[in-house]
Amino acid sequence: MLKKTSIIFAIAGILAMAFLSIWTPPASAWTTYRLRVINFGGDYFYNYDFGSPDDPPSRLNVDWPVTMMFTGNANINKVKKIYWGLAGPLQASPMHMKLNDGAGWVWDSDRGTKSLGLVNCHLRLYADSDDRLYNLTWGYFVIGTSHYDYYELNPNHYHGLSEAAEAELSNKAEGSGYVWFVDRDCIDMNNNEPYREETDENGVIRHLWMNDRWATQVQLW
Amino acid sequence: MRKKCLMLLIIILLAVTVIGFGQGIASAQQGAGTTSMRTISINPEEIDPDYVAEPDIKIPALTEDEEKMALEIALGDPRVQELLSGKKYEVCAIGVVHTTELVKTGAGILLCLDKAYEIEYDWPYTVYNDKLSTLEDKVFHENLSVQTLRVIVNFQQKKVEVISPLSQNINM
Repeated sequence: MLKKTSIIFAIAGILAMAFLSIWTPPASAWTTYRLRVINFGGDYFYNYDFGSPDDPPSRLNVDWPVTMMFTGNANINKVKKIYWGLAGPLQASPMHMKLNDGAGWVWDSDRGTKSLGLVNCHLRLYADSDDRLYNLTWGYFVIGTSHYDYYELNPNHYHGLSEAAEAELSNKAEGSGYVWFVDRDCIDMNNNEPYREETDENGVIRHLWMNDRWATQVQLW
Repeated sequence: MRKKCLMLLIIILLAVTVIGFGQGIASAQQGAGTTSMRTISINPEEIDPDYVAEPDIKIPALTEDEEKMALEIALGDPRVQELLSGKKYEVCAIGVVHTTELVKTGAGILLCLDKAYEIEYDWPYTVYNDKLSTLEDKVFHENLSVQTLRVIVNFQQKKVEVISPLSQNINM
């Protein structure tokens, strides 16, 4: 009897893990009129990430503005080590970026890296298939979007303040051994968002926009 | 002879290492020297073959009268007054609240406090009731560090709908 119960629990556990590994929470879509393609030393990417990897990319389907550029000798895993490691499927849902490093347009998706607590600082990172982009000016680089998640386990959760999250991420990068220098607010992303708040499809306010147009460069060793 | 070859190999390796390191420094210094780098922004339709230009969307904005009204309602709310009592603050930002269909529904006001305060409070918020298909007022009891107060004013009901704490200093 005990053996049978154990087997049932084991199967349930495996099924739960399989479900969690493929399950992603539903994502809402948010709106901006500042969607642009950025030419970064000959490589192209959008100045916002997207709620879903749908072509054509839409101003009505964005998530957060690009606020961070990790340059020099960056790759996605290395940058996540500076912060809180890889965010798990229960911690964060993936968002999407469309980019082109000369080999054609591709979509990348990422859950990012995220702090723990009632209020979480959340950074998502994007590059192409080898987890880094390259050009002669910037070396190996990856693109990041930033925001805070407030009280996510509660029904009153809301998200935003990209600019303040950028400042916290810059401070944390400065104190890590991976980084040569941090140049704050130095790259024009053309994605300034004066303070505004957007409701979800049910009318509950969820998305708190606030960003200047200048991304921070973090140069890695 | 073998010793000489070994020495030569070591010298070559050292030279390669030094040159490589130098190039690394040079390229990094190139980055470090640029403090205000401008990227070239391009409209998506100019470059992405899959991008289809959408109708020019317009994010709604607050009029001056709406800003005044929102401030009056927010600062006149007894809960906001209670939370601000005895604290120095300034109005850091006022912005529109809108739906995903870009309909203006209210205003958000960010009140920056002079320092972080620990505040235990029944923080009011709204939640969607699936069964009734309406928004309900609720409270969220928590002791939190507050550097900025976020106050949401509903224009239709002319009342404060949400008061929530932000632990960040949001002065940009």
